Amino acid sequence: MVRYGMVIDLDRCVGCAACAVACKAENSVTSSTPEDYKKRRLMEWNRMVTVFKGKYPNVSASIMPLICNHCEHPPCVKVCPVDATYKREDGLVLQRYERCIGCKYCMVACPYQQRFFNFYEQEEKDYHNPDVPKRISGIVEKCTFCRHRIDKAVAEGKKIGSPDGVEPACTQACPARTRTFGDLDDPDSEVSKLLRSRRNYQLRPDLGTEPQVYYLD
Amino acid sequence: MEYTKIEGRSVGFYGIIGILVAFMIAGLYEFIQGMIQGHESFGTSNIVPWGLPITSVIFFIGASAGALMLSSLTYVFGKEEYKPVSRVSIFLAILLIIGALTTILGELGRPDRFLNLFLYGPENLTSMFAVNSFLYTGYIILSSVYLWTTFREDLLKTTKLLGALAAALAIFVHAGTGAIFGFIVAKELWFSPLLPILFIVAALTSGVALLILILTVTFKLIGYKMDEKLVVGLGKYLTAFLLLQLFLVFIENIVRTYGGMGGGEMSKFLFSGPYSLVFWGIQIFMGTVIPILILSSRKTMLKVQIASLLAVIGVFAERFSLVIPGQSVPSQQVVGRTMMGLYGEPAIYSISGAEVAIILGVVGAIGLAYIIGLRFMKLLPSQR
Repeated sequence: MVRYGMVIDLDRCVGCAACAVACKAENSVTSSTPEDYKKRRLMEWNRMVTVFKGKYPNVSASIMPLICNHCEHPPCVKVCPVDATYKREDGLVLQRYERCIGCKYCMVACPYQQRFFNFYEQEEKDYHNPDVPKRISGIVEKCTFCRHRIDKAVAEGKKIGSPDGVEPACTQACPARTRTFGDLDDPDSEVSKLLRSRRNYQLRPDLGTEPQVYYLD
Repeated sequence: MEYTKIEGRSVGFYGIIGILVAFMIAGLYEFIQGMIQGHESFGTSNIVPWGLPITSVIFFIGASAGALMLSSLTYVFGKEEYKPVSRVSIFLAILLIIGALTTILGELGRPDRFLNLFLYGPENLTSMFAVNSFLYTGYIILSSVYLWTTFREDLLKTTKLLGALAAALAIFVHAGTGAIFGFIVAKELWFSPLLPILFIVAALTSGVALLILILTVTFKLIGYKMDEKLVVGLGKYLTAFLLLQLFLVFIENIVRTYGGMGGGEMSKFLFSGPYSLVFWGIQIFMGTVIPILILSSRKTMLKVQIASLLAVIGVFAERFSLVIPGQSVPSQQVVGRTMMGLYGEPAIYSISGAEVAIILGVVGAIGLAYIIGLRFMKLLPSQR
């Protein structure tokens, strides 16, 4: 079985947010206004945060890119009343936009705040990626691990996964090669090798969601 | 016992209808605006996606379940002294649950797709929303049949059976509503097995209190004399429910504070954050402690009425301090590490006019349906 996942090496991350920009461009994620920022309605499938511990002068801080964790046991899938969000066999947690009723139950159920509500109609732009479906207002959207790239690669029989195969836009854009994408079930894939070689952790493992995005520290 | 319709010829009757229709128009306007422009005018955000409408949904469902369970006093347990209010309380229960579902419709991002709940709901029965959409539908149908049988003197046995069934279903309906929140592991203030039970107790509190208010006002307006003993009797039930509710809230919060799950950030936010006034001031002090004190003295009609009003406000505040502060604090991503800047800050939800208008619209519709029901159905007792 294929089970796609990502490994993010925080030692390499410089916090340039190229992944966030690449994600916006690739997935036609709508741009947000300062008004949206004030109202906490930002559309950020991929975002950079800084986490810290302790008080000055004994502080340790690290930059962290956050994306949808494509959990093994996704709480968002469990709560969707119309089966709009689902876990695909290859491990991707995806959303059927045409079925979503906008109840926002998945948004409150996600412990990672990785689901975003379309508060208004998105503007069509010339530079929008034609491979990515348009999201109308009133529905919820999220990171798809660039499913259009993966689907295309599967159809064309190309190799998927870092370092020489097809990758999501954020992974491809990272100048420091922070991210590695690949099949967690394949012991020879780059992600499996990385996970074996170094200490790693998932976000909020105490919640039992079993994220498929791992962080190396 | 004889029942009667209201006459509905006075100026006041049409005046009230006018006000309620105005509410409905405001709500409908905002609902259509929301359908055309999206929820831009709402106060919700990506951190707090559920706002005031969801708060009032669970309040309405609670009041409905409470009102239905009360009617079982007469029809199941045979307490004849509550018969004058039991039939109308079933009617109110049906209206309130329909009102709750209408409010959900006004809150959905795509209300035009709500039928998906019934088309695709069975595919994912791990969702409490999907389960509840079937529970609520069954509840509406069962209580409507139950109401119909109370009109038939020859169906006493059936009424008793249906009353017991409907009250049992009401418990499940509201426990299911509590489970919507209680099952969410991501939210520290929600994830609790006690929540469905707390919901049922709060349902009984708000159900009794709302019934006392609505019925005393209705009886006053149409000039019937309400039996003081009946109101005082209901006041006794209200006292018991309020005490039980206070106890459950206390237990739940003491467990949270003691355990400190997820760093205890969300409990701290509830107790001392910007919404702490709602929690301490309105929910605990004004909505629970003061009504208990009022009711513990010798009960009179007026005292019970005041206590009921405070209890209704208290239960609504309880809903509010569950829904809003429960979502406000972004959960930690790495345990023990705080997120810097905007991402770590609690999101403040400010009530927007659009949401209030939608709720008022539903209140208007419930009120209008109630008055029309009283006008055309024999719901009220006919003693002078």
